[in-house]
Amino acid sequence: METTARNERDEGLIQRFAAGDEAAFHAFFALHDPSLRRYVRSMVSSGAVVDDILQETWMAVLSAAESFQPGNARGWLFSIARRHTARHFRKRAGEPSQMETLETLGLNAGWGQSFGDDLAAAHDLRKALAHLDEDTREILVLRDVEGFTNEEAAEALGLSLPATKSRLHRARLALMAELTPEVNHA
Amino acid sequence: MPEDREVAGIRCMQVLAELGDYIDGELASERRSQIDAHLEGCTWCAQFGGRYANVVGQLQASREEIAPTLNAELLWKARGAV
Repeated sequence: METTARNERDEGLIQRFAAGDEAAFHAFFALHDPSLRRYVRSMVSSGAVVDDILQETWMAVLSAAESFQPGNARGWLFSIARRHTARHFRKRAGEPSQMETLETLGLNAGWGQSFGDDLAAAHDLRKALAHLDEDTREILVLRDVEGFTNEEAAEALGLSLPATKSRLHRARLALMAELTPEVNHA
Repeated sequence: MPEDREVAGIRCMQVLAELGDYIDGELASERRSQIDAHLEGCTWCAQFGGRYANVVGQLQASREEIAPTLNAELLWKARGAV
């Protein structure tokens, strides 16, 4: 579904369940709970807390719906999820990639190296994601796995659009570095 | 350390900086054409760009379909209790 249409649908559902329409909540829940679950699962180290975080998130969504400001429904939803997930974040695996220059990130990712075009296996990709610090992993999950627009990701993360795009690019390079261990000399 | 070359009027470092926007289709057409020309003349950047696009594609394809496990009806009934 096209982004604008999807956002209008979601805003309409939020406004309806804020006004007491239970069916609208059920519809909104069915649309977004799987995505929230994937996000939370990718961000926390213990699977045992996933349901707790999701329950807290959905209760907070129900409480906050009346004050929802139309504009970016999915960003709003995930900003709530993020607040409830943050205290359970996995420990950082390393220094944030923001501290490194783009050139260093590129070199670690294999820029200027010769390698084949073989793709990472799915388990390698998951393992590599798990090795990244949470800020890096989070933008990749929202933007590339869940298919958020840059605007939606920016709203969810509380970042400006340029900062979101910069974090995304750096995160992709950091992931490539994880998938290219033979040239990862950071 | 690889060489930062100028090809088609753009240096490799500039291509690296704009690669995300290029892959995401967020560049103006003129800039996109400039980078296309660089990639045609620079094996180094073309290979790296291909790998970058592959990794993004892998991420997009990695999404698992899962069903909700919480009960929306119970959540609705519990609203206002917290």
